[in-house]
Amino acid sequence: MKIEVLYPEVCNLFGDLMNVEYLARCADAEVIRTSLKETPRFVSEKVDLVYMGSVTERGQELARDAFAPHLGALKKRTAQGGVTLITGNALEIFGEYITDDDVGDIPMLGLFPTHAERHLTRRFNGMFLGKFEDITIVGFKSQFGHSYGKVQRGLFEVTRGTGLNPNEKWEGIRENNLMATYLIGPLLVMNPHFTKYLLKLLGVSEPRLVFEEASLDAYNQRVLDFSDPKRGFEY
Amino acid sequence: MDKREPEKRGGVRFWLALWAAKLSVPVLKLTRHNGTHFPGSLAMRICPDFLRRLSKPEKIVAVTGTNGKTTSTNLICGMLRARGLRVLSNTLGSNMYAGVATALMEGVSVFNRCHSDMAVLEVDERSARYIFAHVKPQFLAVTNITRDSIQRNAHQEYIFDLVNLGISYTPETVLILNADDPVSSFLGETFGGGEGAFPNRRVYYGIADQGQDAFLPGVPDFSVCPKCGGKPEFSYRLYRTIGQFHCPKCGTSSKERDYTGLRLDFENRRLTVEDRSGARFDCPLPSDSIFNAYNTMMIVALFGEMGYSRQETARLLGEAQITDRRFTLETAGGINLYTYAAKGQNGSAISSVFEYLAKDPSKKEVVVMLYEHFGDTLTWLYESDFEYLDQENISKIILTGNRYLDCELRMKLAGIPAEKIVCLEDETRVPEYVDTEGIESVYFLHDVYCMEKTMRCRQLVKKRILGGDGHEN
Repeated sequence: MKIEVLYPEVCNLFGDLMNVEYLARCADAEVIRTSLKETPRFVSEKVDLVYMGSVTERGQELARDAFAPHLGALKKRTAQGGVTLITGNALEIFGEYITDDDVGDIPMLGLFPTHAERHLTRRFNGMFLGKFEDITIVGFKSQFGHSYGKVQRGLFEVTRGTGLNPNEKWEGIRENNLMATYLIGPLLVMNPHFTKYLLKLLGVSEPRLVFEEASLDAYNQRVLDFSDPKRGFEY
Repeated sequence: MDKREPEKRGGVRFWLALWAAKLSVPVLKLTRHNGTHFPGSLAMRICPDFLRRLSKPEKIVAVTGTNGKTTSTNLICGMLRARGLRVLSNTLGSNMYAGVATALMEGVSVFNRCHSDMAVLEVDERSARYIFAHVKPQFLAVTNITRDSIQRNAHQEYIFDLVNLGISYTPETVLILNADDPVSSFLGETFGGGEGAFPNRRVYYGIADQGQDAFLPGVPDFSVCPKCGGKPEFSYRLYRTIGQFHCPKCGTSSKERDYTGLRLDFENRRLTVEDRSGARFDCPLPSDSIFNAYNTMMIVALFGEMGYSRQETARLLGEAQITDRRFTLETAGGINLYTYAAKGQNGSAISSVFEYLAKDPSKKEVVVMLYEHFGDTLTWLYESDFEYLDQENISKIILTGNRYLDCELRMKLAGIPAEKIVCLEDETRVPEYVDTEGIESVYFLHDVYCMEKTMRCRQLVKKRILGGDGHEN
């Protein structure tokens, strides 16, 4: 199995890269790290999973510029059922534009019919509890804004916390097997059932996770904690 | 706001604010409340530009940066007080706007007359823009800008911009910058260099190559040239991404230093410094960690720029002590029992401490006491190099705190053998699991919120080692 991480020199915030390390260890996969100056490998060869993680605001523009020539290849890959995972504010790179309080509208790649509204003076932090099919998802959000627009299919249904924006009952965007979510950090480490789903999607018939027991213990404790109605969720 | 708006004094609201704030101090003491934040906060509610109208000492030093600002501020204060100066500081309180207002308010009379010689202020990076709009330090010393708690600080570029915004309010301030930090060394310039350097005079400190084998960070604090986006190369690193770099693509490189630590002698706690004139002199090191060596170099540069002689700086450093909120050592039955602040939520800080203790050759056990507070995320666990703890001379790692299960998983993913890991939901049971024989040291790593629990825990371990009441016979 091949996993390609796009632009790890900038898309490396909040421990997001551990998603790839974890998945690679679970599937004994090869990890390809593609820098801003390189052509993504998925453009010219079979790559099982393409991944992009959280990034700074300046980094969003660097990643946009680097990826723009390959957007067509991603669309083709997605139409053919290729698996892509995008986490954190990398999601915004694939929307139409970002509106920044100071700078105005910053054009993005336009893959999703969304735009992000960025407020650098108001950081949004929150916890997330939701559903992916029958799997309970837990996660964290820490971002400068939200995305708005008519999304055909969300990724995670919100149980508690905030979706793509405060009025949206779905978190993230899904197009075929392209999954994008604002959730940050070690999403796959924290969600063993979802990780197993992903591994199956990637062709692993009977997935086993590394340190599965420890992962499940931590997950179960967190699900309980996040399900506690007394627990605050946003701050 | 006009950045050069003249200082205003007095006004009915100001006097009310000052007297209310003054009055609140004894009331807080009587009711046993911490009074390091509230008086300033109260004053600003009554008079929003209280800080501007407040009299201030003629000389002000501000210290900011991600890691080391509390330690450095304490050391600077201690050194100046040892010289007999009346120094105001917020070392025991908040480093945000209200904390700074409280500290400065305590230095004036009810008639707003300042009776202190100096102020040494620890300034939160995010608050720099608000504080420096009204407080104009002669010197701003910066330790570093690294990854930090993401909820408040997001990422380094964000913090860089906020500190720079603060600096833009105070063009006369001399910046004392860490030349070996590829991020904060560019403060006083627009991000990525180029045009728009600020008028502030800049002084750089750093440490020469010591031939150290610095561990590689899993997620580096600096991986892209701020000017061209190229891949920077380091000629050496002393820890994490602190060292000298250059970008092969555009030629951007580390700043030239005015004060260089030429030789570190941790064994004898000595530091040989060369200043910009080429003069060399020896200084004591208050600690044997590389990150505190950088704090010491910052202080040497600051005192040099404040006009202190090299001998005087060295003498004052010799008397300086690291605050016990950050580091303490007790010995019981020949075993060193260290407490070390290892800020959770801050992957860079905790990894530096991991590297420090991993390089201590003693046979040791490590107690990790980290507590999740409301709103904390776990993301920092995966920005921290727990891999550094996979050392032969670390025989046991005891995990406690309310996210011990997450810590356990992280430790296992870091390659720590499962048989070395002990997980305890109840921290009071930690002493039962610390060995009392066959080890030379125990490190208690704690976050800033659980000092008391950590001290209690160490006391119980000490008692167990010594038997009886915990006192050496």
